[in-house]
Amino acid sequence: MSTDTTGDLFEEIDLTPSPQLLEALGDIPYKPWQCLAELIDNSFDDFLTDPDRSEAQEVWITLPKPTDDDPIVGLLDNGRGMSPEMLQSALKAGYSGKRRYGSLGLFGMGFNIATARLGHHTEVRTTRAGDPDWLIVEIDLRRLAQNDSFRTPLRREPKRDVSDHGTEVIVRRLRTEIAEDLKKANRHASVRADLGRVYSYLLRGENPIPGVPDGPMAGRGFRLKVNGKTVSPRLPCVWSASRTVTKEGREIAAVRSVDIALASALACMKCGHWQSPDLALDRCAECDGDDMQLRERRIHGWFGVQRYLDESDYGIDFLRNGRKIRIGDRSLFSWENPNDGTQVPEYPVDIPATQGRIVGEVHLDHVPVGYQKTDFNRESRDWRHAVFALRGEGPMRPKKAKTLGYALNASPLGEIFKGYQENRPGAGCLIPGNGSTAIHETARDWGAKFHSGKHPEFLSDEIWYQAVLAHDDNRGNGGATTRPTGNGGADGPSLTGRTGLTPLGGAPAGSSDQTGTAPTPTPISTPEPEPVETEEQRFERYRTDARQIFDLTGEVTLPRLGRKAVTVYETSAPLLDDRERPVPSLARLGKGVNLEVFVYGEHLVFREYGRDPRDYALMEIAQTLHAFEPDGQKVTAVAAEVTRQFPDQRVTESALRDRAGSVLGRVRELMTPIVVPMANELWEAVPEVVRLRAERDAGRADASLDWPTVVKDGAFVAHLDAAGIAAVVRMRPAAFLDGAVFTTSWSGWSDTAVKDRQVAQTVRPLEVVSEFLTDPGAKTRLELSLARITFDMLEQSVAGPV
Amino acid sequence: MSDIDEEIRREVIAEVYRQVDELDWDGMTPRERSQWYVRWIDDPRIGGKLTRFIERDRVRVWIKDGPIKELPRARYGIGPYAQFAVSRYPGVEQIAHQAIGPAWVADPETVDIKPNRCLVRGPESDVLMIWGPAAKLADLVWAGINARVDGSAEPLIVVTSPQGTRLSGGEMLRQRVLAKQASIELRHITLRLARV
Repeated sequence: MSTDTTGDLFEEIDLTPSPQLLEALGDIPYKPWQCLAELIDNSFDDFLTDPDRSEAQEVWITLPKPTDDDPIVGLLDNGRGMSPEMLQSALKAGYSGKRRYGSLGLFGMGFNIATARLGHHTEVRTTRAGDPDWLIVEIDLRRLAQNDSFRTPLRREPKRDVSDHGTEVIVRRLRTEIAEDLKKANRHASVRADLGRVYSYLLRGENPIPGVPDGPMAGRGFRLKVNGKTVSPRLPCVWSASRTVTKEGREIAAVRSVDIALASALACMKCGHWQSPDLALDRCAECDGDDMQLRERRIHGWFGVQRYLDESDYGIDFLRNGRKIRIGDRSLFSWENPNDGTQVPEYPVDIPATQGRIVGEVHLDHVPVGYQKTDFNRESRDWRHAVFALRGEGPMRPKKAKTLGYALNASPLGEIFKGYQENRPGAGCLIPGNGSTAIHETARDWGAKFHSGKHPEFLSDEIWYQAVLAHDDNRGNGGATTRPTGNGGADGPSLTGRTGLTPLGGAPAGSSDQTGTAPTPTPISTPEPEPVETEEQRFERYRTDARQIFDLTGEVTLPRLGRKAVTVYETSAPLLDDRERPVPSLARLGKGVNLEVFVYGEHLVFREYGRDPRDYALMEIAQTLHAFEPDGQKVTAVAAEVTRQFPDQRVTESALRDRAGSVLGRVRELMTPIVVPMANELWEAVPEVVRLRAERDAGRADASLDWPTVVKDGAFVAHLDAAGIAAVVRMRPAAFLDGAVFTTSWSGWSDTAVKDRQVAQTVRPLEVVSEFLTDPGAKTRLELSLARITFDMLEQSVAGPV
Repeated sequence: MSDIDEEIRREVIAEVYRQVDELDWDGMTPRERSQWYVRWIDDPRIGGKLTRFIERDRVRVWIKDGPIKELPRARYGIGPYAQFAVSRYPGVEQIAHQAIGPAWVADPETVDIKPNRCLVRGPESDVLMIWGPAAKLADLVWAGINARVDGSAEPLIVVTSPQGTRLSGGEMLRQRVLAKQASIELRHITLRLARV
């Protein structure tokens, strides 16, 4: 720019950037899948606005194969195709005339970044139904740079079939590192997985998850293939919407739809910026565009509960125009204190505190996103408003909300939080368990099967739900069966009697009392023996009287001995081996790698010797695998290896601490309403040492707590440790026993000695737990066993579901 | 097959082809397809009708070796199942137009299979068009060599790629060079699967 001395003569300068700039865009570190996604976005944008959906809307991606010496990356869609003007506008770098409103593409720049990142030569071909030609543009970045020009010719190629339509992008002369990367083994699979995650909503069909109504989960059913293989959407592994938990007398479903209407606003059709109609601006405040249209805005989607807990695989996915921008976002799980800007984490805090299961998909089509499409603009008013609408203004924890003067949090996320923040096994919280602990690892293992798409039996939540019910069924019996003996038990006819196979001369050697079954005299003179029970019928009978031990259900893989898909049943029908001898357990190889294991839960060895049926099931699995052992390894070594495949069975210190957290949490929850009316007098009465420990715990948990108020309200219960709970129970047994918190009977006894013993029996396990938790040293095997049994006793004495 | 009522047989084939079209069968992994065979056994519109005539454990094989095996050919309008295909590739005539030019006319009477081939009559001479996917290139070249030996019309190999699969320049060149070793011309075309 120059001016002459008079200052009134202006010349123009050309601000068209050098084509080298385009090549430099290729240095932006997009991953290959991100590059493909930029191109896919353009195709899906077209699909989303196409009213005519007579044919499946499909995008095909071609990636280099390991053997290619001239690799290309290609994308073809069967969209509507473009006119020459549309093509021109779509390709114009940076200054794109492409409409950002309602589109995923958002920026014309995305196309340039993606193609420049992939390679040096791009060909775009497009045609509409009825057009006679394909329109073809070649963008050769190096040649453009040499000529220092942005101009490139438009070519036409006659069409064989005038009804053909769509757009194709082919990138040639790939960057070496991109080509090498895309040729790697399994790279195509990982690209498909990434795309399946990001486009889950657009790729899935109308009713993708059994048991979840199609409303909130329904997708668009677009098709996407990479080298001929379909990209499968990664589906949310959530509980069915018909599953509920009851909190404060209200049923809370495991899936909750979100549909929040927002005030309509003026959308700039050019740059996508939204502004309030109240401002009465006739031009866009962002880009000065003059095409502003009043459009409806809403936040919609769902929150739900995953069928398993995970350290990283949970959180909320946020979408813009169907594409996931944030996956597994957890920012909504913290409450931001508006006074000091501090973040207070609210979820997950229940044991295990590092793992969560609340998930969701929320569409925020109106909130601006960054150009790399990896996050929303969190400073924007629209984002902040969405956060309030989705998770409420105050804390989700009711007590915390009340303390800080907020109303009860009734937001969509707050409701799910209320129902499912806790992770206690059983139907109370919808967590699979084994009678004593939660089986998180098994549940997660089943989740992996759900996501693999190779196990249709894991699509519905039935197996998880059965494990939830089995926990409650089984609780209080140390994991042994509690199901009443069915018709195969002592009252049922003996097998020998029914089969008529008893040799003449008396009962078979095996039908002794050992199984608890009284030998039935065989009617030798029966003229017509009953039909012989086949092996299949016999095992079917075992299954009928059985419950599955879900925490032992899964795959066992030993490097040299192969893989078995194991299902374990605890049956109340006495088991007989193939020579009709009573046995405590049996294994049966099924089709393929399937192995069924049966354990007779009423066998003396379990009933009177305190053995755990699980140990026998593990021995059966080990023995089966041992049969394939070529090196003469001991069966006990195999059994040890098999046992280690079931991490939920561990009795480690950390597993026991998790369990302590769960059961004490339940006890405190039951105590709180009882304590509230007598908070002051109770607090005064408890020993000084208990008060000090509670106060210290509260100080660590929340430095901003007003401790005198907490004491007055009775909220101090939340900070009582096991010994503190024991002390409180000792002081007021009438308030907490007789089913109020503990099932132990108390008031009905007239002898004070009996009464004292009842109290002692209740508080002793609490004291053992307290010792266990406060002792920092490593625990011996016996100490761990003692703790486990103490937990069993404690859980058995707590009222209601634990 | 003969023991199945003809009307029912037609209904079942039509239903299998309808579902295959909706399911995006081409993009499925072998395992996913396997799962569908199992589901079809219990589908009242498929297995439910077939089990009136054949054993339940024969249903899977019947579907796999019948309608599914014939599916690629049926989509080209060839074979006894052609009438049931819901989506079709272009017909022989169109393939010839696409590969050689609009002046050439395919003779439907000469269509033969394994691999697909047919006589195409041109303004001056005829060619034996042999077509199929790149994966079957060896069969296509072998058929071309045999045509030479048998003295039939000049063979022409047409490698067809379904829409969405693009061969790289290197791959196409290599295929042409391979055919050239047998002195046979080879061309590439893309075929679009369209609902009928």
